[in-house]
Amino acid sequence: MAVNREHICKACDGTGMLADDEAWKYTCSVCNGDGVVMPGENTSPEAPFSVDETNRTLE
Amino acid sequence: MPLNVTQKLIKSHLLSGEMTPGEEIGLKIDQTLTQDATGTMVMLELEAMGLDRAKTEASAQYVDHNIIQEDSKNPDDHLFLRSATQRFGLYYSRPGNGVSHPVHMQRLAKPGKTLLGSDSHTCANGCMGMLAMGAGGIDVAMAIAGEPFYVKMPKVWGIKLTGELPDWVSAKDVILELLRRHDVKGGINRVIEYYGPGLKQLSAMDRHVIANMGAELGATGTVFPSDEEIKRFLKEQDREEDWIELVADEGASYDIDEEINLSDLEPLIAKPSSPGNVVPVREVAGEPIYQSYIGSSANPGYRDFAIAAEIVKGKQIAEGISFDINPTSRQMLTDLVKESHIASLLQAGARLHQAGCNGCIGMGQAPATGRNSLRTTPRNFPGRSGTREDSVFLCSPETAAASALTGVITDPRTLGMKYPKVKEPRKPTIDVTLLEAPPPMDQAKTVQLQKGPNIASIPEMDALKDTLEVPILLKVGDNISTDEILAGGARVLPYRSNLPEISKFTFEIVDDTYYTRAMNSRDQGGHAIVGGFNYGQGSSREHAALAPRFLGLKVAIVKDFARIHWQNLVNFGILPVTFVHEEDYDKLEQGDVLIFSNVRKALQLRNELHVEVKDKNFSFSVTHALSERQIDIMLKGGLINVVKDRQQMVNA
Ligand SMILES: [Zn+2]
Repeated sequence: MAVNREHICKACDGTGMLADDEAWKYTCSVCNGDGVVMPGENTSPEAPFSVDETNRTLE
Repeated sequence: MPLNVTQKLIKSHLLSGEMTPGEEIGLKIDQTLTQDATGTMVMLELEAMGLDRAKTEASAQYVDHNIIQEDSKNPDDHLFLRSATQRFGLYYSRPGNGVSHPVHMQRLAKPGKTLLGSDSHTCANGCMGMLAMGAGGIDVAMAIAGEPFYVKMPKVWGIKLTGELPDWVSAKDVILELLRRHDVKGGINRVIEYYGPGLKQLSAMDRHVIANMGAELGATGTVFPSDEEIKRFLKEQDREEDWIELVADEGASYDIDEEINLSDLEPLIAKPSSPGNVVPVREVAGEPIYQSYIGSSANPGYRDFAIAAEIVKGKQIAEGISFDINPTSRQMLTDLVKESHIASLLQAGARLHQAGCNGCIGMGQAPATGRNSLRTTPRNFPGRSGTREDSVFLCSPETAAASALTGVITDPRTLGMKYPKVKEPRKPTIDVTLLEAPPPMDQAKTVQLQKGPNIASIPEMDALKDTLEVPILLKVGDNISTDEILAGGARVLPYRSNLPEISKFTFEIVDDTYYTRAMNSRDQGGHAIVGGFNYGQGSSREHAALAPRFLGLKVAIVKDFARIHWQNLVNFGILPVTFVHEEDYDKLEQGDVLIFSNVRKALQLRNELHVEVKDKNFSFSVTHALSERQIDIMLKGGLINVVKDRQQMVNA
């Protein structure tokens, strides 16, 4: 699928990936990893994702 | 009362609280470690605190994460970190010297001490009879400044090891067995303590493998006794004088009891995409692989590489396979070269990388989309390898090497060869030059922090005012994540040591006018944010509190907070309150001006605060959940100010 440059996810810059403070990668929670956010789309994660005390996302 | 090792470590470092599981305790921290991804902010926090010199017995800054230098940002960070370690009296481990955990174990770890690190695998040093814990950057900055570390008193989970590891089964399979039994949240609020006759067979570095992945169970820490094996290890490192015996008292008990009979174990593997998704290797044997990856902080030992080298020696890896060797410390890499193990690996077709975190955190060696990658690394959550649609299995070096030869997931017992015996070098290399010791105090004082163009000091933060008159600049819904407050992506994270710059990204996902409006409100008394349930869920990113604070956020009023973000708000002096009546959320609008009067006194006297809405005939109540210690932090305007005050008192 061609990525529409106008709707590129700002959080991950279209890469679908974010990193925590320790530089560990995880799937972008804003676009759910597809790199695209359409106008009006809810940017909150579909389900809450949890982390532990040591900065690790448990997904 | 007879004590176990964990209780002894806690008792000898207890500064406040009772040793009752679940109660908050304050612990004295003897040593710290920081890595470069988190370390730049820690150093900036130390600067903002006005710290003269580290108050710990030993603190080390490792450069092991951002070691690829594709533009000037990472090397500028390295220069800054080096100057900061010299200024504040820390050890500096240069890029290429290796991953913090094994290097710390070799050079600085001491039985009987506490270690706090801004890296979740700091627990690995529990192998040395230490209480070693991972924490947020500000917690570690506090510890370096001599402040206690506050944590919930954990339950001690005693694991008795009996029997002997069969051939082809190694330390990694022990921790995979525990993950198979208890999954990734099984260790939360617990310290795992190993004991029993099975320990004899586990070298100090084998114990490191097991302690490291205690983080995958969510445990507060993992503790091994300091016995003859630790003495042998320290002697080998020329540090025998650092050894003390630390074992459980006769008759000591544990809050939770469990046993692992090592003789019953077989090669195990964690399937995609969770370290808790563990099955015997034989159940997935035959699945084709694209990559086999050996090393990282989860299998950093000499034997972990040497055994792989012996398995592939004189053979060729299967066609189409990428066989990646990620050395974990330069000291061990030198020995692996000297003993010709690296030659065996290279001749078999391996690709050798520099000593550091590398592919373990997704910095290099990302696998092809959807292809199976076998790794000895600690985590296989989606995307951790650097590939969005990755398919990563976690296994032992034996399983990874056997599979590299066949091209499919292979139970190493089916290779049809004798289990190689690996001999450790009689006199291992000791490499101290890449871990620079801190200069003496008089010299340290003259060191200037070297700040490249992308490094900015943290500005001063004011104390909490008695009257807040703040507009609601943003009203958001439920489940706002830290990624929406401040994302951690390739576009944003390069500015992690530049608060003015990174703050430009704050809330841009939700409302890209927030930054400009916040900057305008900042010098007029700041602003408030209103939110729904589970505000601040997700990553524990400190910047998600620090950046809004920089932009003048004074109060967050929500239906409820995600716990770790709540803690970060407190740490950085943003007042976190919740609605007493949730329906008041609906009555508030963006632009409403809220008035909190006598807020300083009110915070100290009671949990409920009264808020008036200016020019509207409406007021409502909010409540806070701050402890006495946290109220003090809030009044002073955040943790940095608390420590700064104390440093000034000491220096006066
Ligand atoms: Zn995204």
